[in-house]
Parts: sequence; structure tokens; C-alpha cells
Amino acid sequence: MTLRSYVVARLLLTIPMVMLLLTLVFLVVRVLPGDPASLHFEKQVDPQMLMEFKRMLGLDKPIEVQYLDYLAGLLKGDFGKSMQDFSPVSQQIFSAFPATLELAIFSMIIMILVGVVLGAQASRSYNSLQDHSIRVFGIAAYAIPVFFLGEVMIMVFAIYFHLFPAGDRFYAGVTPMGLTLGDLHLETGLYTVDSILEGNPSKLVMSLRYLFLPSLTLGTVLSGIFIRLTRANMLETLQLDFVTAARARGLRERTVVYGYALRNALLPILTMMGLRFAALLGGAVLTETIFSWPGLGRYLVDRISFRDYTAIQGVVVFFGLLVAMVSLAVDTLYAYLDPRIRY
Amino acid sequence: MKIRLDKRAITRMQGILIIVILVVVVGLGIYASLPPPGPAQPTATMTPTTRVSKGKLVIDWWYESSGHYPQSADQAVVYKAQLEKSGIVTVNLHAADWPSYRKNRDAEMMPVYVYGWYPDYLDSDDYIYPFLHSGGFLRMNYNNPTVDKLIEQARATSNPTTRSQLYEQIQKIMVDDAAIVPVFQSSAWAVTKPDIKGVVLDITQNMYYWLIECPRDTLIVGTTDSVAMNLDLAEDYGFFTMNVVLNTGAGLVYIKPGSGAGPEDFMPGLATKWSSSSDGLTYTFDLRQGVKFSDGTEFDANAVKYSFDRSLSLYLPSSAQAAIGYKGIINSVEVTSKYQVVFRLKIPFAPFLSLMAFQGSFIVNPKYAPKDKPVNYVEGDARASNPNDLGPYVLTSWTRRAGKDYEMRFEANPNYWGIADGYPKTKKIIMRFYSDATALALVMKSGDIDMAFRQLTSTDIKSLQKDTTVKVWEGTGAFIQYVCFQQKIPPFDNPKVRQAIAAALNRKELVDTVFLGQAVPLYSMIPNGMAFHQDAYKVLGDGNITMLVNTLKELGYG
Amino acid sequence: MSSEKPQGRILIWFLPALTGLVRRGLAGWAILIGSAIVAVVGVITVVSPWISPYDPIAINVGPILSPPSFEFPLGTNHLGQDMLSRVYSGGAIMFQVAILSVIVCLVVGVPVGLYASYAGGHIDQLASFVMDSIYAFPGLVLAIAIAAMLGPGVVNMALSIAVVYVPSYFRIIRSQVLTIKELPYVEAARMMGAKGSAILLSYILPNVIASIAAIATINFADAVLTAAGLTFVGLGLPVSTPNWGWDLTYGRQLLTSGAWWVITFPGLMVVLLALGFTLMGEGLSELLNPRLQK
Repeated sequence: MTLRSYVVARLLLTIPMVMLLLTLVFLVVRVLPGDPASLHFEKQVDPQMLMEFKRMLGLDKPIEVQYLDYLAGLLKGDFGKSMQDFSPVSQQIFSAFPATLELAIFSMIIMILVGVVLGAQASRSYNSLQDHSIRVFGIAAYAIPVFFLGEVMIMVFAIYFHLFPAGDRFYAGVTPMGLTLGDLHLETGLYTVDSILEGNPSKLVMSLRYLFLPSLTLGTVLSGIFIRLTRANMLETLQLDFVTAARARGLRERTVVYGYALRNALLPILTMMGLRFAALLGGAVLTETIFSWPGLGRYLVDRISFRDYTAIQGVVVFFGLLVAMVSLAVDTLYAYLDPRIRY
Repeated sequence: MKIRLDKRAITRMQGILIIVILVVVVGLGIYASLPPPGPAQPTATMTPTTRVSKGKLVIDWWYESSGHYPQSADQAVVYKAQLEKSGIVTVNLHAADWPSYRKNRDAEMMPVYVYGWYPDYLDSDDYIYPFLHSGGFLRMNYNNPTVDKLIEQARATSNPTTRSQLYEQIQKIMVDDAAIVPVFQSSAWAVTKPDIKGVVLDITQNMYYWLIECPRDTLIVGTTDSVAMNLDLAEDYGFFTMNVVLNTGAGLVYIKPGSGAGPEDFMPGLATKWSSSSDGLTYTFDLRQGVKFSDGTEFDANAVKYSFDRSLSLYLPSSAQAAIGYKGIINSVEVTSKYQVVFRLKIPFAPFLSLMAFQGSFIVNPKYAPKDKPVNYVEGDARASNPNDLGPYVLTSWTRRAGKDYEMRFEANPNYWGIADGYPKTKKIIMRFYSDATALALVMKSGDIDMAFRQLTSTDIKSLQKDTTVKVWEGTGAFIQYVCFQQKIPPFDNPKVRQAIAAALNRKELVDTVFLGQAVPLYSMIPNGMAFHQDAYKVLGDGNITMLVNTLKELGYG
Repeated sequence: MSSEKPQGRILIWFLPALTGLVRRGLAGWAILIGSAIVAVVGVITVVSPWISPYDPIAINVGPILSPPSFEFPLGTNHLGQDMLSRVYSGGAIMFQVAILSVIVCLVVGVPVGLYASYAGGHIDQLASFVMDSIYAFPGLVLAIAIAAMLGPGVVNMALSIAVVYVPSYFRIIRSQVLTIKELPYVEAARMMGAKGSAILLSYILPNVIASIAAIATINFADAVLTAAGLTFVGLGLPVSTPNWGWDLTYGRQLLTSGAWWVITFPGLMVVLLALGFTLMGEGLSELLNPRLQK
């Protein structure tokens, strides 16, 4: 099997997976107690009005028809209209996604920095105090509930020291606008990128300030796993011949570790990183709630509370596709990079 | 077991086994030492019973757990403690998130449940009809033809003396039947920087932004509310939409800000004079002249007719007009001259002026409000997203992200008819939306916003009251909460039991413990400060455990 | 020998295990310390009815929102409940939910994992497909959806956590089974005519138990965290049972008014409990997949 056929096979496999997800969500959401139609009215509405409203939402049709209608819409790229506010779901998802993406990216950066660096350090000083303390730190980081750590961060850095804002993405003012050249308007929704595009350094600083605490929290909690993984892989790699050879050639220890060993040890970690990133894209619900971060996770939880069927389905499908794409990309990259694997 | 093991593996196995045993033993010990979990989750098909067990009355008490009402979990804990103080009652608490709670309500399966209410229009009728009339919405299976007739009579007449007598009788029956027990009325709160003036909090729960004076030229407001669907009351009937409509739209009459919304408290808006026929079926309004819409068109009687014809023909199920039942009240709207409108009603409706002051009766700009469909949010175009006009402010920018409001910007309306009087006092407003009360409290404390309006927790308000860098404003609230009994389920079909439970509730303790004194005990479904209110339930006492014990003992409990 | 007291027997079993663990270095210590922490927290929870100075859900036993003092060592919350009593008894629910979810996972995940991976072929593919789909889904969101569907309650929460975790069990078991399946002595047994179920029980299961134990402890830790998280989002247990999750949720709102003690102490307990389980799990997996000695 060549690399190309592997990719194609994976792509094809994505479709039944997303279909399964979609069907599951479709059914689960309709089993949840309560329905979006009656939630629009407080008082008793006469049954005719309720029927009319259900008709507006498309809920009067039998479930198979609803399913097929939705599927047909999806194939055309239409995620349907929210049952809560009748806005197009795709528009809402795309306005929420950049927030989650930005948080995911920066959390990954912190997670990798903390996890990989500490893990490598630990492996260098095997069985020393440094090694043990780093490992304990890794375990502790994993065990702390993310909202507790977040609250502690807020308590200390935002409330007590006033160093960082306590939540939200940006100050009440003009958010980064991206690049406008005549008629062309380029806006990614990622505030850091947009401030760079706009050429506004103060906005860049602002967006980083708002990003700092949430990504630090999320990144720290996730780094625990990476510390362990990196350390384990590094320990194995450091045993290998080429490392001994490099040392024998008189290279500095730091070059050996970070230059040679780490690169090879990282390969298996790559898949894990990819999966983590994909999971992060689903929106770290708790982090987004504590830090009032307007991302996809919070959007989903809000919509679940309103039983907004189309929105929930839309997010799940979107997310399923995203995960599939990301894991495909990571696996392909891995297969490409690792000369030992050839299909 | 044919396993290839050596001694090391045996030690390993033993170690693991020890751990597993340890955990299981500890777990079982905990399990055994705990009281058994509460009754199984009732489903809609199961017949819920409240049964006599060991002689105590067991009450399955439901509350809403997803934050729809303020601090409902705290309230539930307090109710439970208060009732169990009698020693003759066991309260089992059940939680449901809002959609499930609603479903349970409609399925009529919650024996006792707590509900809340915001008025549609400010008249005692709106606090009585929905609850005590058999046509009400709470599905309590409460039916009293006498009280039905009294309520209908009170609706039909506008004579205050007659209405007063009728509501007195109604409230007395309310206590005798004890079908529904009001507990508290929340106060209204706003927090601002100390240099802000002119915040008025009255029973309408409106925020009159045009009255607020801010030394800076932009007032930054923080809120946790959000537009539910859109700014068109012909489709959306949400609290925040009403607020935006109030400040960007205009009505024929207004209730004087800060007043008690009594019959004397109406002031001219787009109408300068009004009168009604003696049979209460016709209302005539003379309109203000020289008022212009934002695009320069002149406001006249045709605009009024257009607005009402539109909402009555669209009459979407979720609209403000449908929720109140405009179609059952208004027959037609006629243009009798360029600046005069006549409303013909189907039935004599005493609170009609209140209805006209209500945002659902505000005038829309025909250019931006098509007759056949509601006006939705248009990304990047605030004017196209707002059908309302003629108000003190113009919505200049509106951004939504992830299905929620992100930011709104308002500027003074250059065509505003009140501009001669100096309104709006503050020319620009930026409204920022926060996800919850905690986030809002944080930005208020850090000084990022000038004003925080609406949702703040009791503890935050208390600590803000002590904070000298902010000013806390308090006003009468219109939001009430009450306990409902499902009369399909014994023993709550027995008025004596209901009365006994009502008597045992200690409103003062609830208000002080849960809301830190920031709400007001309520002894009638008609709130304090509203016409015809009487402290009817006071006759049963507060925290009257004796009555609860005696009544239940008589009925065989204990 | 038969007159020996059972305590003696247990000790005899216990001691070599203890020393065996300690001799294994950090991993052994991790297991010991982890189980010690869990045991301590568990014991506190069990004896809480006797050592709690006040009823944990009685309101107004003290002034509302008072900081830690001599009379109320951990302070009181916004309803005047004593935080010390709530910290003592709040873990019971956590334990219940965690244990239940682990039991469900074991009962469901282990047989499915064993059978599907041993049988191979289409059954294996189908099972892997389903499990991978569930696994790809963000855990908390799935738990939220199921909790919303089932309603609050200990059993329902345990079920939602279990559903999220079963795929992990499945994966670990599957990777182990696939390796063991090909080992020579298993082949030999098959050739000698041993039935599939016998092979599963006698050969594969014992070797898989260790990995299961490792992931079960991680499951405990995650269950505790998820239970707290679900309560945080509003889908947790009714408020009439003392529950650290509730204290965390309320404590968050109370932070802005300066009442730091409501969220801190229950939070520390949750961290401690999760830490204990994680240590056990980490130690166990380290033991079972020993790293190369230098």
C-alpha cells in the first residue's frame, strides 16, 4: 500500500464514521427530555400554535423524513437553521470556532513547551531528584481538575494581583480587524493573527494578555501526559546506538539530547499530539466556561440546555469531520516522516 | 489456573490484589454507611405518588437546576430545612434542567414545584389570571369557577373601586384554596461607577437609558442578557429584546419612570391625548406631530395602523403579541385622520393603556419591517436588523458571536421627539455581553465598565455595597417566585395540606439566607407596590410549624 | 495452622507485597502513597457522620460566609453551612459515582474487549469502529449529553462516565489480547483442542488483569473529576446530598466577593482524591511496563 492509497482509504473511512456520529447525535438529541418548540413559550399556548411552531422548526414530520432532510442539507453544505434563534448554524459555528482554535493553538504551545522540555529534562537525569519531582509534577498536573486550577489562576493573577484579565477574549473596544486592502478584507477570527495583519501591536499584546491564563491552565493540565510520554520515549531513545555514537564523538550532552534524541523520540508522540489537538478543537468546555471564552464548547453546552437540535447536530458533525481530518493529517505526516514505516 | 508465573509475578499479583481489595472494601463501606439514594427518577408514564412512610408526610419537591431561576438550589435546601423542622415531614429534593422541568410541568407529574414569573404588562390582572384562572398555564389542575368569574369581572371593568373589591375577594379565596403560594419578590439591582446619575429602577424592570447621565461621552454597560432571536417583538419575546426596543423604539404612551404604574402614571409618548368610550370598547389617540423616522419619513396614523396590522397578521406563536393574546383584545385599528387613531376592542379590557405602554405595542418603521416576515439579525447591518424606530437611541452596531450577543452600540437619535427636553442625556452607549454573573462582577470591580445591569449574585451585590469604588442602585422588582401544588396528586388535592405547607414556609428566613435580604417576602400573587395588593397569606403566619404539625397530625401523619 | 487468626493471614500476604512494592522504587512508592491517600480520604468519608461537628446540609449553623475561625475551622458558606462537615462528607457521592462507573466499565468493557479482539475478523472491526467513534468524541461533552438525557442521580452520572470510558478499556484490552493471542503457548493450547472461552479465561484474562487494574484506577480519577465537572455545568446531583462538586460551583461565584475558602478546601480534596488514584494508576502501569534499567 503506498502512501497515497493509504490516505485515500482513510478519507473514505471518514464518511461512515461521520455518518455514524451524525445518526447517533440525531437520535440522542431527540431522546433528551424537553423539546425546543415548547421552550419558546412560557405560558400555555393553544395546541394549534404549538403545532404551527413545530412545523416552522420542521419537527412535525416523521423522524425519518427529518433525518433525510437534514442529510440532504448537509450534503449541500447547509447545516440548517438554529432552532433557538433561526440563524444559520454554520454562521454560528464559524463565529465560535476561531476562539476555540486560538485557545487550542496556544494551549498546545504551552503543553508542548512544558511537557516536552520537562520530559526531556527528566529523562536526562534519570532517577535523580529532578527526575522524580518532574514526574510528580506531571502526575499532579493531570490530577488537578481544570476548573479548579483555572479558578486558582483567576483568584491569584486576576483578582489579587490584577496582572491579567479574568475572562473573555478582548476588552470593550475595537477587536482586531484583520487586513483591509480596498475591497479585500482578510479576517481570520484569531485575534493574535488579526492584530498582526492589522499592524497593531497594542492589540496583539492585548489579545495575548487575554489568552494567557486560559491557555496556561489548559496547557498545564494536559502537559502531565506529555511529560510522561516524552520521558518514556526519550529513555528508550537514549539507549539506542546512535546516541552512544554521538556521545562517543564528543558532542555536548545538550546537543545529543535536544538535537538528536529528542527528534527521534518525538515521532510517536506526534500522533498523541494530533489527537489531543483534535480533542482541544472540540472546545474545552470547562475552561471556556470559567474564562468566559466564547468558543465552540460553550456554544455546544448552551445549545444543549436549549435542546437546539440543529445546532447540536451541526457542532457534532463539524467536530467529527475536524477530528477525522486532523488525525488523518497527523498519521500521514507520521508515516511520511518515519522511514521505518512504509506502506 | 495455568499461568506461567514466577515469584516476582506472584508478589506483583498480590500487591495488585491488595489494592483492589482495599478499594473495594472502602467503597463498600462508604456505600453501606450512606443513606439510600432518593427515589428513582419518575418518568412521564409513572404515576408519581407521595406516600405516607413511617408516618411522615413525604414530599417530592422539584426545583430547576440549570440557572433559569436565581439560586433555585439554595432555595430548595432552605425549603427542605424549614419543612423538616416540623419533624413530621420528609422532603426529597429533585432537580431537573429547564427543558426537563418544562416537560415535567406539562406532564403534570411534579407534586410540588417552584416557579417564577415576570409580568407581561403591569396590571394586577397579569399576576392573577395566569395562575388562579382555570385557563392558566401552570397545569396545576386547579379549578374554582367562583374565582374564575371574579377574575373575569375584574378584567372587564376599569373602575378602580370595583376592581379593588373584586381583587380583595380573589386574594382571600387564593389563601383559602392555597393552590399557589407566593414566596418572594426580587428587588431590581444595578451597579454603576459613583459618578453616574439618573438610574431609575422601577416595577417595569425597564432600563431607561435615556435618563442616565454619564460624565464621559460614552456609557459602557455590561450585561449577561442576550437577544434570544431578534429585535422584532413580532417574533421574539425576550427580556433583553424588550429593553432594546424600549430604548430604540417608541410607543403611544409611557408609564412614568419610577412610578408604581398606577392609573395616574401614564404620560404622553407618540400620542399626546387619549380617551376611551364609556363601554371601554373604543380608544382614541391623538398623535404627536412633526416626528420623523430615521430615513426622514414623517410619523403619522398610518404608521400606527401598519405596526398593529403587521403584528396581528404575523402573530407568530413566539411573539410578544401572541403571548399576551392581542387578538383576543384588539379587533381593529382605524385611521380617522392623519394624526388620529382609533382602536376597537373585542372585549372591555381595563389594562388597555398598560398594554399600549408595553413594548409589544411600539411602532415599527414600515421601511425596515416587512409586513409578511419578521426582521432577523443581519451581520454587519444594524439598521436592517432593527425594525424599531423613533426612540431616543439608534442602534448603530450589533455583533453576535457563537449565537450570542457580543457587542451593541447606540447613539443618540437626531430625530428624537424628546430631544428638546434634553434626552437622551448620554449620547453614546456601548453594551458588552458577559457569559455569567461572576464575569460581570469581575469587570465591574476592575472598572472596565461604567454600569452593570441585571444579573449579579446576592453575595456580589453585598460585597459591592461595601465597595466604595462603585454605587449600588436598588429598586422594586417585578419578578416573583411561588410554590405550586399538583392537585392531581394526593395529598395535594387537599387544601388543608396545602395551607399547612404554605404556613410553615418562613419567607423572611428564605430571603435573608438565600438572597441576603435583597428580596422582599411576598404574601400575595399581586406583588408589593402594585395596585390592589394585600398581604393575604400573612393570616397563615410565617414559619408556622405548629399549624403544619397539627394539620398533618389530624390527617393521620406522624 | 487453621487456628491462625485471619488477621495474621492477611498480614502474611500483605507484608511481602508491601516490601515488594517498596523494592520496586518510585513506582512502588507511588502505588503505596496513592493507595494511602485514597484510603485516608475513604476512611474520612466513611466516618464522617461521626466526626462531622454539624449536619453538612443544615443551614444557618453559623454566620453566613464567615472565614475560617476557631469555631468553624474551614469557614461557612453562603447558606451558613459548615464547610468542615461538608468537606468530610462530600466525598461519599464521589466514591459512589466513581466505583459504580468502574464496575459498569468492567462489566461491559472487559467482556466486549476480550471477546471482540479474540474473535477477530468482522466482529473485531465493528467493535473497534464503534469504540473509536465514541473515543473520538470529546469526553465531557458526551458525558453532558448522556447526563442531560438520563437526568441527575448517582447511577445516571456513573453511566455517563462509564460510556465515555469503555472505549479506553476496550483499546487497552484489545492491544494486550492481540499480543497474547499470538504467543506460542496459547497456540499450543489451541492446537491441543482447548475451547476459545477456556483459553480466554485461563490464559489471556490473568495477563490482562494487571492492565485493567491500571486503567481502572485512572478511571476512578477521571470519574471524580468528571462528576465534579458535570455538577459544575448544572447536570449533577440534587443539592440535598453534600457534594464537593456543589461547593466548587458555588465557591466560584463566591470568589468575587472574596470568600476564597468555599472553593479551596473541597477543591483540594478533589485534587487529593484524583491524585491518589492517579498515583496508583501510574505506579501500576510503570510496574507492568518496566522501563529499561540503566
